Amino acid sequence: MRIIFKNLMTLWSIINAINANDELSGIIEAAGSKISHLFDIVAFSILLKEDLNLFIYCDESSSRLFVDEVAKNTIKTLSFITGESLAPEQIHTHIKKMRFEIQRRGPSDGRLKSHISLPLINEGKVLGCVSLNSDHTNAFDAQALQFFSLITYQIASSMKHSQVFSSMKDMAIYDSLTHVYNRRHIDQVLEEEFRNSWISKQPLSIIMIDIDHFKAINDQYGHDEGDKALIHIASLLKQSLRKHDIVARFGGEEFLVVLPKTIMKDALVIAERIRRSIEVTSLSVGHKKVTLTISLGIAAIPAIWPKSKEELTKCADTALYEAKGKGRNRVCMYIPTKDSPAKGILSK
Amino acid sequence: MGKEKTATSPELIGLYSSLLNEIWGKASELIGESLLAFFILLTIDRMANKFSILRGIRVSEAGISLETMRNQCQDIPPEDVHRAFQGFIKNLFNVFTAISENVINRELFSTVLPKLREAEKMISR
Repeated sequence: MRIIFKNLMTLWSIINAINANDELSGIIEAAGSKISHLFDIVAFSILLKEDLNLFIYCDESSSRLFVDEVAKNTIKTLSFITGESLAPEQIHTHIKKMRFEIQRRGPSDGRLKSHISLPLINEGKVLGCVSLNSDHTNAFDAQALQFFSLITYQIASSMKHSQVFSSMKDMAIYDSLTHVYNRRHIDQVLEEEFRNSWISKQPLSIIMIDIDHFKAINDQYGHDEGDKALIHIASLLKQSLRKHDIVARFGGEEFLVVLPKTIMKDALVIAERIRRSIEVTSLSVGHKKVTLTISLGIAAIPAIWPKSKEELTKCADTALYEAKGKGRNRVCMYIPTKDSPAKGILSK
Repeated sequence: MGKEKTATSPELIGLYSSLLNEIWGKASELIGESLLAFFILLTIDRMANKFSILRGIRVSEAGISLETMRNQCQDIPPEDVHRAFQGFIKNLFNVFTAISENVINRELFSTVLPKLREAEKMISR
């Protein structure tokens, strides 16, 4: 009775640990690091169907051969459950060795002798599979299977929650059409970068971008083709930027790029690269191939020292209007002078 | 004493219905209704090309039912019904072996074997 109670308490603590995580990595780590408290196993494995990541948590004494057999067997189980053949080369394996509480029941040749494997199912959909692995034959009984199935249910349910959580997070920060960041997120990012720039006296540049004659595309070809144009531009913007640059859809056909720690001169190089990449890439609109162009306005710290991020954005907007006024398809920088707040720079 | 009458398809389905409900009761105690329903549906899916009658098995987390099949099987020879269920149960046991070695099957043999023998007898009368 005492042993059953102890096992139930351990089961409860494992389920709680899994349940306490919103992120997939936390769920896997919680299960992998605690599961040996309940089962006499040499390895626990979890294979995810979506990204084919295989995680193996095994005892520090387990041999390479044993780990390989666990990997092979887990892949075989998922293939069996889904009916889709999986090659080991497709799988990304992550191995974590740790001290497991193994009760040695006689000598072992270090080979995989026994396993129970269950699919991770949520609403009838296979998310992956999990396995308990032992180097002894008939290592698992009915109670082990009962406990393991409860843990499996919890992992699957937490995985589903983490997917929902992650997609809600994405919805909150990404533009659903173009998959670049949305206005709300770039406002937060810019606020932070603006504050950092003031505090550390580091440069910061932003580029305001507007698609030239976008209304004509919508009017001539319809909104679906207009949407295609926005997706096309967003994709080229992402490709033209550096790793730490941030791009967002700022309004209808307007995009904003934030370039942390970047001076005006470098921002101009990036802006010109963006302009050129769009100018030379054609897009199928309706039955025609069209080439889009964009106008760009740059504002940068320390070329100016605005009091707020809104003021910085307004300066970039002024430069953008200067670019539009000078014939479009060009980059203008905001350089205040006594007579003119924005100085147009012809960039092509 | 005259020869016993050969079992009809609805009678055989009645026997297999009772057998599958016993399997459901015991296996769901071990792995829960949701996983069990998944394994049964997986088996039906893999066997239905060979034995289309199996598509009449209704499975959900609430249990397993052969009522739809019983109402539709009047024209199907009992031998075909028997073969379909034999194949289905064999495959279901193979699925259980693949995931739990013999843990589930051990719990089920005592229930399943007598019922399978009974079905054999009914069909060979």
